[in-house]
Parts: sequence; structure tokens; C-alpha cells
Amino acid sequence: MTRRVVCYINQFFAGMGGEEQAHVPPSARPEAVGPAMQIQSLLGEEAVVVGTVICGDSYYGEHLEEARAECVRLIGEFKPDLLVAGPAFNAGRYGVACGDICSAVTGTLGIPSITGMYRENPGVELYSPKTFIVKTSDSARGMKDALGAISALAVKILKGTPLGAAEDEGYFPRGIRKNFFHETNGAKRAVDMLLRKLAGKPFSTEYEMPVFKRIPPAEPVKDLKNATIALVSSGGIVPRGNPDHIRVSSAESYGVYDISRLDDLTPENFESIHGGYDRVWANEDPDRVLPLDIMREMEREGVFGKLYDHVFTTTGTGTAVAHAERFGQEIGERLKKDGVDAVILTST
Amino acid sequence: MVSEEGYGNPDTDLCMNAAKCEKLGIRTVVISDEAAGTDGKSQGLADAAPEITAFVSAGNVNEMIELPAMDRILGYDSSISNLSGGAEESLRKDGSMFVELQAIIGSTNELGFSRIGARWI
Repeated sequence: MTRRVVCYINQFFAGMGGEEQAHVPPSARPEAVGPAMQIQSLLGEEAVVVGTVICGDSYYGEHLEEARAECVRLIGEFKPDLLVAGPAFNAGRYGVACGDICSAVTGTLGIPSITGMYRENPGVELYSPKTFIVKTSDSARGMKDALGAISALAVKILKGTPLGAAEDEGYFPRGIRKNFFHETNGAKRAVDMLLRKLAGKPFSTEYEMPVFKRIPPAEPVKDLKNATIALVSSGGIVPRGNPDHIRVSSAESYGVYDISRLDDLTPENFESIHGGYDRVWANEDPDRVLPLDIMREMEREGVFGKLYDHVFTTTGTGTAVAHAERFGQEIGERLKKDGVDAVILTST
Repeated sequence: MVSEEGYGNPDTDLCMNAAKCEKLGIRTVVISDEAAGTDGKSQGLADAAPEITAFVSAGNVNEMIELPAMDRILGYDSSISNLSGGAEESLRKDGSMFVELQAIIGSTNELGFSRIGARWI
């Protein structure tokens, strides 16, 4: 079963000319053109380069939607198993075009794609999560090494060989963490790293600290007596039986429950499913984590205007930050739409 | 060396402790597991401090693993639905399980006892 590869290159590497030909629209040839010929040679028997799609760098940049669509169409007609674009080295327009076509092909045709760029190419930051961008030198003088690395990765991907870490395979990380077994255990690696740090020697951290967005807090509530307040909880308090099957840890969903007719949470109607604390006391009285009883008392006494008629709940242990962010945005939008003035968020 | 057990709140303690040490001139390395999500795309700690320049990973606790059916079970395999890393659909009819790594207690030991660690792909 022949593995089929298509290559994408620009007008220069297709031998059409330099900057003066950068406006040429997309075209296709049913053979390996330019660097694709060397790629075929490096792939050997493992795959066949069945076609090359060519587009001028300026054309792609100035007609993004049309160029992308036409190139995806031309590439798709060859029925490839893999796309190789560039390599673009440090050429910005070419890098963005390569990254864009790889991202589009992987996204719409569902096949893997590989390109190659120098670390300062703007295409790296834009597209590294969406395709495989092999690390190259800053100019075509590094073509031999770049094609060698690209072809080696291409063969592994085509054969389904499990890949190692990005650093070991020679491409820019795609923002995904994956478990591997190291040669030595974490304790030894930590001591080694600390000794290097103490000696002022260079060391490689295994995880760089993320930079968080700064979110300005909302203004304090001015008129509490007339305010509508909602209860939201990451304490895992759900209706008995956990009808929406919220996970006890690493939750990927939250529940929305009508409490308009309830004054009190009891073991008969609610329970705790949180996997991060001992649930005994929360199950004896779920109000301890989601204080509906006190809120109703204060509502009756007029401390605030109205308790919102739904509660939002999930389990906040091991929750992936991406999910937590999404929950917050969705819940916040709904509360805002329904005129809620403030939220009491109970966690554990 | 600074380590911690747990997620959320303990991550904040971890970051504050390490940052305070560094600011006092005490060189620090952190060992911790990561909660990077089942897709590996989330940040692994619920907090961060720029002072943590040396970090050793004990693995992504959310990565899914296959556990084959066992000949002998001590306890109740249905309990997996209530354990961190498990869900109602974890236990299959044939007795095998599809769970997060953290379902195995100690798999991402925070003292670095294991050789497992998360890396970028």
C-alpha cells in the first residue's frame, strides 16, 4: 500500500523566479518539484511524492482565504497521506504560508503535515500548535539538514512509529504535555538540577512557568438590599445520584440545578461527589459546602434582594485550567444575561 | 527541594514557598506532578511563580492509561467510579479499565520516586 506524500513550495523553490514572481496563483504538478525531489530521495521506498503544489508567497499572503482554499483543493486531489511544506527557514511570508497550509490541510483533510522553520520565523509562534514545524537553520544553506530531519519525521509519522518528545524529534513543541519514562527517577533528576543551579551551571527546567492573564476584579456591589445573588460551587455538591455524571476529579463538565423550590439541602435531595476531600460531613449536611439554608434565611431577612433560582456546580480538584476557564466564561455569560449582580463561589 | 501533595490550593502553597525561598537567596528546585488535562494542553499547575526556574516533572496525572482485566481482584472494582482519575464509564464489561494515571496511587509520586515525567510534544 503506497504511502502518498504531497509537497507545498513557493515560486522560488519551484524555479519560477524570485520576488518578481511572488504573485503567482496556486498551481499543481503531478511530480516532485524542487526540494521535493530530494525529499523523495530521502524517503526512499517508504513513500512516493505524488505531487507538488506551488504558490507565490505574496499571492498567499494577499489572498489568504482563496489561496488556502485552492491549495487545500489541489492538495486533496492527490489523495495524500501526508503534506510536507517548505522548509521556509527564516522567510516570513513563506513561513506563514507553510504554517497556514499545513494547519488547513490537517484541519480539513485530517492528514498529518510537516514543515520546517527557523525559530525566529513568525510562522513558528502562529502555527506550532497546529502542525509539526521542524527546527531549521536560518537560511537555505541548511537545506540538507532540514530535509533530513523532515524526511525522518515524515517516515515515522507515516509508519505510525511512536514519537519521542519534541526536543528529541527536532520540532518545535506543540503545547502538549505527554508522559515518558526518563533514564533516572525524579529525585535524582532534581538533585542533579539543583547541584547545577547552585554551581551557576546551565540547566534545563522540565516545565517553564506559564504567564497568567491578569483579570481585573469587578467593582463591589453598591446596593446589596436589591441585589440578585447566585450560588456557584466547585465543592462537588450535586442532586442525589449525580444525574449528570459529573466526574469526582478532573471534571470536564458542570451541572445547573433548579433550587427555586428548595430552602435547605439534605442527604435526601443532595450529596457530595468531590474526590478531593473526605465527604462524610458534606454528606451529613450538604449546606456545609453549598450554603442554601443560610442564603434563604438572609433572603427572607432582606439582607439581599433575591437568590438566583439555579446553582452551578462542579468538582474542583485536578480540574484542567482550560476546562475551568470555559466553565467560568459560560456560567458568567448566563448570570450576566439573567441580571445577577454578585456570585458567592464556594470551594474546598 | 520543595514538593507538595494535591492540586489547586497546594499548588499555590508550593509556588509561594518556592518564591519566598528564592527571594531569600535560597536556591530551589521544585518536584511536582502536573494536571495538564486528558489532552495534555492545560497548564499543569493551578498557580505559577516566575522564581521557579528549576522544575522536575513527576508526570501528567490526567493522561489516560489502559489497565487490562485482572485474574484476581482485592476489593470492589466498581469503586473506580468514585476514585480520582475514574469515572462511571471506566470499568468495562470485560473487567479492563480506561482511567487517568492518577487512579493508581503513587504513580506520580511527588518525591520523584518514579522515572515518569511529562515532556513537551
